Amino acid sequence: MWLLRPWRVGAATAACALLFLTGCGTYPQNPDPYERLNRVMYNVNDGIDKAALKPLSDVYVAIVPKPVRQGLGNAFNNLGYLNVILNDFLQGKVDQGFADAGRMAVNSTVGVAGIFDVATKWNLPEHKNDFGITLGKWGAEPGPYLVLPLFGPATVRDVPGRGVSMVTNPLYWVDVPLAASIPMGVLEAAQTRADLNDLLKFRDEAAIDPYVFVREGYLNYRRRQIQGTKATGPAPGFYDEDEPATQPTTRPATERVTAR
Amino acid sequence: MKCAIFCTVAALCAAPLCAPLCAAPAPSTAPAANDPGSAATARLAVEEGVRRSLAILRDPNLSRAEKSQRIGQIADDAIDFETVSRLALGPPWKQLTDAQKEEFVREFRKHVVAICAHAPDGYRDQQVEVAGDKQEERGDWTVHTRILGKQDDGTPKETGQVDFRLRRRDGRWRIIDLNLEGISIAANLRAQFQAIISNGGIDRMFQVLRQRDEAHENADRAADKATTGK
Repeated sequence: MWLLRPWRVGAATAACALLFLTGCGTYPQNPDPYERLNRVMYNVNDGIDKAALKPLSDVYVAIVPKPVRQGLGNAFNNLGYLNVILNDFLQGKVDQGFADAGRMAVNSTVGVAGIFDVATKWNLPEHKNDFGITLGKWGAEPGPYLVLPLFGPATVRDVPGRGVSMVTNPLYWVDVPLAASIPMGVLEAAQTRADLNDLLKFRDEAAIDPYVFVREGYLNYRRRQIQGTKATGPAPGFYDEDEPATQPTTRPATERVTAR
Repeated sequence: MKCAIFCTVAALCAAPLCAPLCAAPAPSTAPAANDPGSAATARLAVEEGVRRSLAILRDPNLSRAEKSQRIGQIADDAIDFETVSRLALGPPWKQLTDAQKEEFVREFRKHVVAICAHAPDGYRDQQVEVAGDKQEERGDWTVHTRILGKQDDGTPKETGQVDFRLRRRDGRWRIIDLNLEGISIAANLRAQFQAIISNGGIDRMFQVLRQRDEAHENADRAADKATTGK
């Protein structure tokens, strides 16, 4: 839907089918049972990125001034914001749902179709939310890790959310002529890639096994989005299985000490 | 239409992943582990290290090689590379010979220093502010920091949170892990090393690590050549 919009309902149906086929209830011990297939897809995505997306976004960043890029990014975010509002309510976050609805209303009108992020200045900050988070909060396990064509990292639990974000985008329901939707798709691809540039640079610089670096980072990040700060670090015992304790173990790590 | 998955990853990016990595505290002499004063010492160590590292990264007069070298000095003071190496490698550490352990720490240190020294420009304008700390098991100490970027109108805006985990050894607090928005760098590295070792063994792991370090050095050389060539 991002580059290839006309899948429409088919994609959403396929997503749901995949969810049931892979079995949403069983949480595997190994979070990545399809690693071999995923690595192939990862390399395909990476190849597309190097051959097309990165050069495209480099040109975009070079010729489009920053305020324009920011405006476009804001507008794309605003179009996707119905998805955030819907999921706020699905998770029972009524106050945040209304605040986010206010944000979208303000930015769509005063902010001229979302180009100017007026709402943040009016104390209606941006939130992130999607149907994958909702399913997680409802108790669904993530299921196997997947690398989706073009979209990249996901888990089975995130797949239906792709459909939800597609149908909650107002543009999905409008018949945008191909002559307009193709350049928009290209612009959005360029903008998205530009937003990701620093992260991908960091991956290329820091990763020893980039595939695992991305997978672990993604799984952790989603866990944190769903569980909040309860998910703060590695498994218990991570910090002492490496060596015998050289320090006396002191009080449990619960209190916050203020500076003096 | 918006690629939500990419966006979640982009949000990860919003936390300046690199600046905090370079935020290496200065050496400090700390009182006994149970002394409440040790909390303040660990905090000061983080604040000081952040300040020193960012000053070097922002210095326009330093070449990339010089930056790497100076960041390396701060990192040696601030990071307990041996403990980080054990944590990052996990169980295979015990299988290494003493010579291999030494080589691992050496190559791994080079890698970490290079990541710090090559922080993208976008991250260097950010401020790091200590937001609190807490005692952990084994006498470790975690220092919470907030990363502040600048909005268009110049007001600071929080772009991420980074926790430094410090361990006291030989009377000094030194970093043993970073936690970026809930992601432990040491744990992430352990998963990467495990994947490489299970596919290609310890030798392959060393090979990959050496290749990374060579790539970093070549990148430094190429960047400095490009600037002096102008």
